[in-house]
Amino acid sequence: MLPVLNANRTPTDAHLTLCLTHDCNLRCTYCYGGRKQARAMSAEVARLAIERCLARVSQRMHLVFFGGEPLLRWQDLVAFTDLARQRAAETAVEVRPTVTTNGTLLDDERVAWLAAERFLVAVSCDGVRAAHDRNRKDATGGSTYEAATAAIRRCLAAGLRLRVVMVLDPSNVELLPESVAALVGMGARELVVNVNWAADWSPESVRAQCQAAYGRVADLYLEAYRQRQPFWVSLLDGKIASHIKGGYLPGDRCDLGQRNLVVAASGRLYPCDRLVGEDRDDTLAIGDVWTGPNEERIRRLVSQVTSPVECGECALASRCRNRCACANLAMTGTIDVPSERLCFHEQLAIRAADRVAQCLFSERNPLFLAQHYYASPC
Amino acid sequence: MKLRPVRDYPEQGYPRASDRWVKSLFLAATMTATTLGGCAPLGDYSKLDTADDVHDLNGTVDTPVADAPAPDKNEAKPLDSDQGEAAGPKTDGK
Repeated sequence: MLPVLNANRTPTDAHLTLCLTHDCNLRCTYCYGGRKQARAMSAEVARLAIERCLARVSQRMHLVFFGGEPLLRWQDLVAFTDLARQRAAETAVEVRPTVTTNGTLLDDERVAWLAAERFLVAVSCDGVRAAHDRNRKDATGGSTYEAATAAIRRCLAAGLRLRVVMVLDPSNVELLPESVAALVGMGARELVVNVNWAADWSPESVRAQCQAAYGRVADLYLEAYRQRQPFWVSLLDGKIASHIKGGYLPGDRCDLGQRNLVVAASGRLYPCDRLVGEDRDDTLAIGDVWTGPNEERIRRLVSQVTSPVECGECALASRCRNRCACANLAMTGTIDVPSERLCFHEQLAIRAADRVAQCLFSERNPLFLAQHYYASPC
Repeated sequence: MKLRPVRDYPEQGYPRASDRWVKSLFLAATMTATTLGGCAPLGDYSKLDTADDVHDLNGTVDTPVADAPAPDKNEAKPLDSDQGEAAGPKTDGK
C-alpha cells in the first residue's frame, strides 16, 4: 500500500504541474495528449492551483509548466511564475520552476528569462535527426530536428539546467545508442528515456533491436565513466539506484496525486500528466481547483494499484515499475495490470544497469563511486 | 503475452546501502516525477536538492530527520563492505 498523506504533517515539497494548453505546434505520433485544441488555462485556475499547493507545502513548490506545448502560452507562463513567486514569498516557500517543451519556440530572449528565473528546462528530442524526425513532426509533417537541437544548444550556452527527454519507440529504437551519443556530444548530461508503452513491441525483430540498443547504451555509459565524462540516463541510473537501496520504496512509485498534482487547463485535477489526455474522462480525475483534491478518490485509486500474482514470483519485482498506473493504462487499458512488454523492457534495463554497475564498481571507478555511493550532505 | 517473472537472478557485485539516511536519499533519486520528463524512475534533482538541504527526502516529513544524521564522509567505505554508504546522483560536476 502506498503511503497516504498524513494530514497532521505538511509536506516539505510538492509538485504542481500546470497544463497551460491542450494546443501544440507539433504532431508527434506517440503523443498521449489527444486532439490538439486551443483550450488554455485561465489566470483564475492558475491562481487557485498555486494557492492550493502552497497551502499544503512547507518549504518548496516545484512548479512545472506542461502542455500541449506550454511555450504557446508564454505570457501566461511568465505571469503565473511571477504570481507563484509572490504568493510563495508570503509563506516563505521557495518556488523551483520547470518547463517541459518541444523547444521549437525557444529563442534567445526566452532562454535568457528562463535562466534568470533559474528554470530547469526539459527539452523533448529523440536524438539524431533520423530518430527525431520519425515521430516528432510539425503540423505540416515537416522536420523539427533543427529547432529542437537549436533549443538544446541555446539552453546549454545560457547555462540553464537542461534535461533532454527522449521517447523510445519501435521506429527509432535501433538509433537509440547513436542518439544518446549525439546528445551527450552536444553537451547534454541528463537524459530521460521514456518508453512508448502504447507501441507494439512484440515483433521479434524489434525485440532484438531493443536488446542490442540497451546493451550499446550501457557500453556508452561505461565508456563515458572510464573517460571521465559521465552522463546520467534514466534507463540505467534509475535501475542502479534501485539495486543500491534494495528496491523501490513505496514513495518511489507513482503516488497518484498525493505529492504531484496535475492541473488541466479546465481546472480539473489529475494524479499524472499522462492521465489528462483531452481532459474528458472523469474517471481519472481526482477533483478540481475549486473544491480541491478528493482524498477519498485518491485512496481508491491507490488501493486499485496492486501487483499481479506473477510479479510476486519475480526476483526483480522490487526494482520494476509494474505499479506505474499510467504505463499500465497505456498497455492494458487498466491501471493495475501491467503487460509483458513492461517485463521485457524492465528486465533489459535492469540487466544492462547491473552489468555496467558491477563493472564500474569492480574497477573502483571514482566518478561512479562519487555518483552512486559517497554521500554529499550540504 | 503473459508476464514473464524472473525466477532466479544472481546476486549483484556492487553493494547495497544499509543506512536509512542513504536509502532515503535514493528514494528521491529514483522518484517518479512524471511531469519532469515522463513516467520513469528518474533522478528528480529538485527532490535531490531538497535532500542536500534538509536530509529529508520522502516529501511527507516537514522537519529534518534528527534520528538519521548525514553519514560522515570518513565513514563511507563501500569498497570493502557489502553494507556501503551510498548517495544519490550528484548534480554538480555534470
